Amino acid sequence: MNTRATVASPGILTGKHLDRRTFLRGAGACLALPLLDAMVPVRATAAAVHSPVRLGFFYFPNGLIMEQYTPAAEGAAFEFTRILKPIEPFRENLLVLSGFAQANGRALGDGAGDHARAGATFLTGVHPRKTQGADMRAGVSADQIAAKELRKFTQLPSLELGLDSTDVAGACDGDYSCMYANTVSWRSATAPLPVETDPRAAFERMFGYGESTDPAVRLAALARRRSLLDFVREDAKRLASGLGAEDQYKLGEYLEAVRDIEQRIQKAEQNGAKLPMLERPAGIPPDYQEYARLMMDLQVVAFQTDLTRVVTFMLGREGSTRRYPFIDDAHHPLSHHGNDPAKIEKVVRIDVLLMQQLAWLLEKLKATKDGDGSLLDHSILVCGSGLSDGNLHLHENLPIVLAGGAGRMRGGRHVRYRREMPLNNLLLTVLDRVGVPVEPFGDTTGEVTELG
Amino acid sequence: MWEKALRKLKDGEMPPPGLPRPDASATELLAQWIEAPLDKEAADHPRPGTAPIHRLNRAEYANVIRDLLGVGIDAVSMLPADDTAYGFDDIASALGVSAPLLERYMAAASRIASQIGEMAAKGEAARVFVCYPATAADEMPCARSVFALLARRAYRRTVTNTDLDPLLALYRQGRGEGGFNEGILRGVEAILISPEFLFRIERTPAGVPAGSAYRIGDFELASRLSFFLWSTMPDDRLLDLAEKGQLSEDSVLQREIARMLADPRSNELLRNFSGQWLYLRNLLHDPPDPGDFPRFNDALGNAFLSETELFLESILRENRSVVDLLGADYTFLNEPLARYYGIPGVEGTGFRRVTLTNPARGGLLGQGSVLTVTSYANRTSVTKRGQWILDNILGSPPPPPPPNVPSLRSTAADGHALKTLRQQMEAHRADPVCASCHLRMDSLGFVLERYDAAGAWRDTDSGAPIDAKVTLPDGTSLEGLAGLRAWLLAHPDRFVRTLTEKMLTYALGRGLEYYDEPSVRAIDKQAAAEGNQLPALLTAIVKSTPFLMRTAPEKGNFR
Repeated sequence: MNTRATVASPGILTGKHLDRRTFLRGAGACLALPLLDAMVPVRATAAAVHSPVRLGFFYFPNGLIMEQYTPAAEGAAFEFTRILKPIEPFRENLLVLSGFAQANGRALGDGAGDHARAGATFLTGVHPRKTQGADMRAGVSADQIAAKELRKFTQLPSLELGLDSTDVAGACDGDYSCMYANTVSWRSATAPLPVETDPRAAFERMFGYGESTDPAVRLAALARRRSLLDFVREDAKRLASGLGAEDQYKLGEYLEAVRDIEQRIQKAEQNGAKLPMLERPAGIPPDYQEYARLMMDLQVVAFQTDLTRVVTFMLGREGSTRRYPFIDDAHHPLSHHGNDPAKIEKVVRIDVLLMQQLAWLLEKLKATKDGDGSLLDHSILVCGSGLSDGNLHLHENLPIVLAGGAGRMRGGRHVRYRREMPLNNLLLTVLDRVGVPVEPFGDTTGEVTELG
Repeated sequence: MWEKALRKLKDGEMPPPGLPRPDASATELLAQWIEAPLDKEAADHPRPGTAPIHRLNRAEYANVIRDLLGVGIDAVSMLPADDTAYGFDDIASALGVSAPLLERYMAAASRIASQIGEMAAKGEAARVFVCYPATAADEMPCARSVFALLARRAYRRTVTNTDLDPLLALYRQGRGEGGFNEGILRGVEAILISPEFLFRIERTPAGVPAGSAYRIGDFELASRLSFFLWSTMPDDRLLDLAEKGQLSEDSVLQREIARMLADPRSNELLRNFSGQWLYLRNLLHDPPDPGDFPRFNDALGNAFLSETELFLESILRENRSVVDLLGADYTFLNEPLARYYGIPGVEGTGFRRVTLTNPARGGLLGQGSVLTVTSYANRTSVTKRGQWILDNILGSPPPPPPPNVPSLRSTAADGHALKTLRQQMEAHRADPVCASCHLRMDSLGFVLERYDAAGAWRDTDSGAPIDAKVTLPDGTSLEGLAGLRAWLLAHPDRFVRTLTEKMLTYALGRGLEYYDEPSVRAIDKQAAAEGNQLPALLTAIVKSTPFLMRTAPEKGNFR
């Protein structure tokens, strides 16, 4: 079966591209997905195409074996280490960045729970409150700051995707709510966003759950959904009065979700509800590689069709206990390798496998034409982990790779920042460079230089 | 603070090892001296606490759809797994709402409505379509009776025109577009995404000031009961009793609890509670590695689960003491599982009750399910098994490592390198704070080393004979499962208290607070007076202060 997918480039809308094919792999099946013109955003009409910037956040769980990750040399002459090797073909689109810390991931008096804190701080820079109760709190995350701004252009503010099911008993870190480790996306300091791990559900979030492809039927379905939402909005408002503050907060979350979906419906209607005739992925492919690629293909399609400009992807939840093909130990226990060389070797093999997934995504982005260049040219991806040394739970010198962005960053270099440089400074700089107006957040102290 | 001290005293953790220890009767006296005023204060001024709004979790949603609409659904494909807190996925504070989740609910509602539409076309949707209009004039009254019944069940309370009018407005829309059935389905779809359906909301009655404790209303009690004992909505009988205001009468409540426990729906309590308490849900999620354990396969994994489920059912249905969960001399086996355990004389694939003569099995701790979920996929872990026993059987989880101590160090205090895991572990344990926990965890785990990571008996590990003899920090010597079992059965109160705390957490859908401790003690006293039978324990939980009462929260200022 075809294991290599090709994403055709939508290019400029001319109405002559019905023969393009993109491939999404379902569980065991190879589905041909005709990419209809309706998918291509209307913006691509003028001669001078100004492609929007897409933002990706790509999370590696449990840190990396830093000795086999960090290049020894700095600047343009750096070498691709064993763990970085898979992304070497994209050298000119990469910045390997050393030295960043998420200092608020440290215990700071809160005891155990480094995995929960690594996840919660990665994109927020805020020390999370140690609780399993309703008073869960971290900070708004960089991806969601971007989503708040960029949502005005697209149907979906953002997509949060991942590969680890959260359906595991007794697996959460210390006395932290599982959400701290399950997601890196925080819509607000008190609203962590769930990560979608089912490709079919992700697909339906992107393209809707209606079965019909007839625009008239789809429009009718949207109208019907709108009237259902009117009904529940009135219900929720009626219920909220007289309730306790915490309960009102929860109903407020519900109402916000209703408003979100309403806005989305409105944009879909403006678009004439014309959506591609795509087959739904059947479910989670049993093969890891296929599963990861399917989820990344969905991201590429989301960017390509300008459905959203912000995607956050977690290869695993922080503290992931996934067992990878050919490695007989689970990832998290193995990451506490205790300096046993055999175990370290196994972790490195996992790290390489994870880096290969990033390589796949970069390859797809590069192969997808977008305006005057490729999707990769018009994207910035912040890739990395909230831990560096997973064995010792270190929150400094995090492994961070910036990918993409011709014109917005000068790739091909390894830059070492001072110790303890807040990762939030990089996040702030990236947001600024893609035109998201941003106030300092988390522990930012300023912008970083050296991105070129 | 007093509750903490009391607990440490009762668990024998105070005074710390090494200091002179009072004899048992003195400890008991001291405990009573601390306990009595706490319990009196709790009785005089009950603090039931408050859980925020509950969203239906995935398991509850599937059961409710079945009971409300008469439709079976595959909830796992329709809805995401729920987040857990305090070890359970029915914790109100962890059951959030977001746009992606609401879209999943909308998709689910749309699919379920279509499913009912197809059934209705074949005349199989009688649970929803309680009437069919013969004439156009019948349509509206029929629609009204359909929604009156549905909304009462779906919202779990009496409904009024304020509830029905918006549903009928949707009905008219659907009726105009696609006929009577379409109109009804439109209303069904709306109900399924309504906050009144998806959330269990408890409203403070007028006149109850914030911060004061009050007895919850009968409809709220009906929901608490059914979601606890059945993982689903109240049935019509509970709603009827609530409507008449009789459900909270002690004799009625007692009778209803007994009825509900005898109903097969109570298997959902066993499945959902024990699936998380015992981590059974992880068994098929992260099974033993087939390379290392060729005898393990999905069929055996399912047999493990069947054994434990049938065992738990027998404790409930036969009115047995919860202490039998640890000490029973019987289990449920089929031929493949019996062979796996090395127990002769069981034939066929059907499960039957088997009396055990070999002390290597018996009670939850000897079951393949528990032994497997407390191991890694490729090997056993004494720390994991020990921690599991401390967490879930003894209720004294090891305290988290103190702040700023990394889990393992690669250099010693004097600067020389610690290369091997063993050296690092030893350095780690040399710190007295680390030592106390690891000693507790690891020694309990070593007792079970004769069972491999897939629950099979073994005499050797990597060729070396296994020593399953340990000395606990308090000096007690134990050997193997039989020794552990005897030790646990000699002090069953700690196990019962742990089970009570886990069940109360699950029942309330919130984490327990220090002010719940008097209730935990009261539940245990009540259950102990009746012999600790599981039904008595469940009844005592239902009749406890936090289950029957609620503290009125501060009002919010929404709009």
